[in-house]
Amino acid sequence: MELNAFENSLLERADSARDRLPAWAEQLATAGAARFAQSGLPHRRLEAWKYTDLKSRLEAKRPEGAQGSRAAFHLGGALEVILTKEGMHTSAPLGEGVRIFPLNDALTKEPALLQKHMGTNKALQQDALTGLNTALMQDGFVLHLAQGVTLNRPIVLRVEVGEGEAPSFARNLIVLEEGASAVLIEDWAAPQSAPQLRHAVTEIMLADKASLAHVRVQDEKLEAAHLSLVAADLEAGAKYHQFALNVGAGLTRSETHVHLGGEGAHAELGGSFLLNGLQHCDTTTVVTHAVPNCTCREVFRGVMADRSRGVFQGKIAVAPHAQKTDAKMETRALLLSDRAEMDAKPELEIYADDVKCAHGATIGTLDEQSVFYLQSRGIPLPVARRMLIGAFVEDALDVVSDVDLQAALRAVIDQRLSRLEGVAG
Amino acid sequence: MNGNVMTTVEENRQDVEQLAKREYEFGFVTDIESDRAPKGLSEDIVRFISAKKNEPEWMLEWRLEAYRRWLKMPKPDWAKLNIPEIDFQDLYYYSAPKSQADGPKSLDEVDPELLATYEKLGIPLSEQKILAGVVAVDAVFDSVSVVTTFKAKLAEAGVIFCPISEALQSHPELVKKYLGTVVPQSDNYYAALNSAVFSDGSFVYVPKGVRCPMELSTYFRINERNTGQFERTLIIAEEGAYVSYLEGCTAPQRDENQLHAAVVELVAHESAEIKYSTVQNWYPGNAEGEGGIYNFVTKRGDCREANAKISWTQVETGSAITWKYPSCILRGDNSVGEFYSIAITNNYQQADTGTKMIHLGRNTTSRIIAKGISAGKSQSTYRGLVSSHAKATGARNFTQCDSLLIGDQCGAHTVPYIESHTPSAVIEHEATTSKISEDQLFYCQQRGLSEEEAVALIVNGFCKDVLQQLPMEFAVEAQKLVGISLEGSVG
Repeated sequence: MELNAFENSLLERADSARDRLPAWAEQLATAGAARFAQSGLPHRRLEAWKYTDLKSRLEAKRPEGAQGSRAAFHLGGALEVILTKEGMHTSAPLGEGVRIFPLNDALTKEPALLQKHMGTNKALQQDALTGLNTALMQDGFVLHLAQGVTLNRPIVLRVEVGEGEAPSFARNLIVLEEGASAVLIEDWAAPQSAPQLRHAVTEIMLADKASLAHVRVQDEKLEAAHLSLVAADLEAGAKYHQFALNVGAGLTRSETHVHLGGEGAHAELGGSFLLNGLQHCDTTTVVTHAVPNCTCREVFRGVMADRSRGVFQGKIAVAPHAQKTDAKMETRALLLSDRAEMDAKPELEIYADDVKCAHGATIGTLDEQSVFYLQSRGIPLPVARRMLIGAFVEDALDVVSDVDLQAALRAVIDQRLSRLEGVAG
Repeated sequence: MNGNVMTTVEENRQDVEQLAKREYEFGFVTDIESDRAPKGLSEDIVRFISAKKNEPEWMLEWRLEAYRRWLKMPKPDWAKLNIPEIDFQDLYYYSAPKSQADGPKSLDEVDPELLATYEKLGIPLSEQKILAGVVAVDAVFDSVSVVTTFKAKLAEAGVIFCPISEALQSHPELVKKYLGTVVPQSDNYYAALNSAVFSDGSFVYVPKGVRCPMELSTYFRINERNTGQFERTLIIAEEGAYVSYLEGCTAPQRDENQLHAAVVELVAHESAEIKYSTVQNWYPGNAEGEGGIYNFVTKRGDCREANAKISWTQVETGSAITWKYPSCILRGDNSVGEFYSIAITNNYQQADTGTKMIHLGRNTTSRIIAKGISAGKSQSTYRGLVSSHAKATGARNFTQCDSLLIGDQCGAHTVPYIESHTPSAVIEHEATTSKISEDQLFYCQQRGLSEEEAVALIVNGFCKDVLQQLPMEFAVEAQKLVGISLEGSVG
């Protein structure tokens, strides 16, 4: 595989960055770099990247412009954690049994925890980009909740590191011990000095009956590429809820792998992508039912304006003997412009017979009848369209159970919708 | 109702018998009996086949072009299939039909299981003998009368229906105009191979405004025999024409060829309609997964002008490996594409099948109903593409794929690709996977059905939407086939 200049520069950077790591991590980093060197950046000839040709897209210049929504995410009463180059700031004490570290601190202070979990997720082990991330990991955080600890308020986490415009590789680790429970919001609204390319790998380990509500709000500036990979391992009775709101960045890949490895585990994935201009946003999910009696629900909504392109690839895999699986996946997209595009690939891979699996996908435009109905009730056309599009997106928000959190997300969505071309008709 | 069906079936059988004689008349089966090209594939073999068929020079060039491209093409590996390595040099690319001396001498020598299946399908003894290869077609049927009636009927309507090798002699300009315009030589690995070495197949031309006076079906049941492993079919419906074509056979056929790579091209001009139905029941291999046919088929229809309609219906129960995606290119405005499919896999069978609906014209509509049933240790995949391009305003698609699993050793997969560039297009896709519920089974058994009968009944209900798309006389046989294919999968 011939690597291009950009790929080589990343590998060179990996070479020089490696010696700062402790020995065990250096081993992982070396192996990761080797994996990346073999295959380079993913491209459209790889099935998983069929609709997002990362290699060529990273070479192409992305249009300049402001952030997607310009509405900062704000959640009252949350515990705010900000990671900067200097360290970490928290708006209040963390409380008993809750620990958060910037990655670089954790590498030296918590080697046992990291060594135990980092790179153990099977979904990540073959991934070349994750290899590169491991070789270059610098930004990122580690969150650990001890057994039985319940966070009484949501954590809002902002990462403001990265060196100017250089690509940033964040590596996050979230470990919830047995019965622990937390609400975590990652807010990726970039300041002006944000990197052109951000790649974040988040590994999540949920022990028996642990529960994590995980929200990612991505509102980076338009020149930026935001690539995220979340891999969650769930043990018996664990619950993982994820909501991904993607409104910013010229190029986004929002990839999630959930491994339901213990009976009674439940995953719920939702998301909205609201795109304008030349934005490209790829949502990819893989949920693996490895044991019997697990459930999952997926609801995604996309709105594409102007020349933007939305991609949804969802896969539900049911292993042999994973009986009594109950899985549903639904994705719907609205195209608001003649030049917008949506590609969907909702996949089922089933090796057990006593299962209930379903998926649905629709792509279309606003129903004229509904618009007419509202107009006939005296609602002006732009308002009617806005209401219907808002309601369309709203479905995905059901994944979020906290009402305040829903409202905070809705505020960003509303702001974003008001800036999309063609919402008002 | 039942009586009517039986009459229709009986009539069709008579037609078969009479038509069978036609082959004898033309003698294209018998006079090449001793021919066989040497093993392997090379330009010389391609030349040999072309010379054997006395083809025009351009046809040879076309085949050679396909062969040269095939050499450079990679084998597709994206399907969810475990395909054993195929040695393309270890095959015969041209062999005349086996002489009777090689086959079984009487039905007593035929595998009793095969005979039992024929019995269940209600196939008359004379036809059983053909299917099992005991006797040549010409030995069974000796009445001549209706051949001429059939021929006369088609000729009167102006319909051309003959082997493609014959069409190359009698209507070379038509073949040249359309061959490869829907499935180009280099379309894919197996289509390229077929383009280089195809032995025969059917050619249908329905002139403007003509509604083909009969189903081109039962005829084919015999006609198709021994056309070899690389068949090529070309069907053209001129403006306002209609034709219904049925390929295949519900009865399992004795077949020496392990590898089949067929190409079917359909061209529908303005307001024309082509209905293409397939029942495929080739040898699936034994219960241990040994042997069986590898079936790699490229089927594509082109709705070339406005208001055209192409409808595919398939019942796939045979073959060890099925790789098949009958597609529609909806080029003309308001054109319609349909795909109705039942894929049943049992034991160690593997099927990766589906369709492509490419919406290019305005207000084009397509409908996909795919039913997959997996039993035993088999794997069944629906793989489909629905795409609407920028100019396809008002396009509409509805897709439904349902999978039924019988037993916990099998797999059922769904891989749909949906690509929309058109805001006014509406594309809907839904898929479900389930098993036969214990309640349903219990209810049927309580009413006195055996477990196998109950499964056949429930599965037939599951497939109803597709079965009713088949021409009447075939729907009846296909229903029986659905039950038989799943034998031994429960209990």
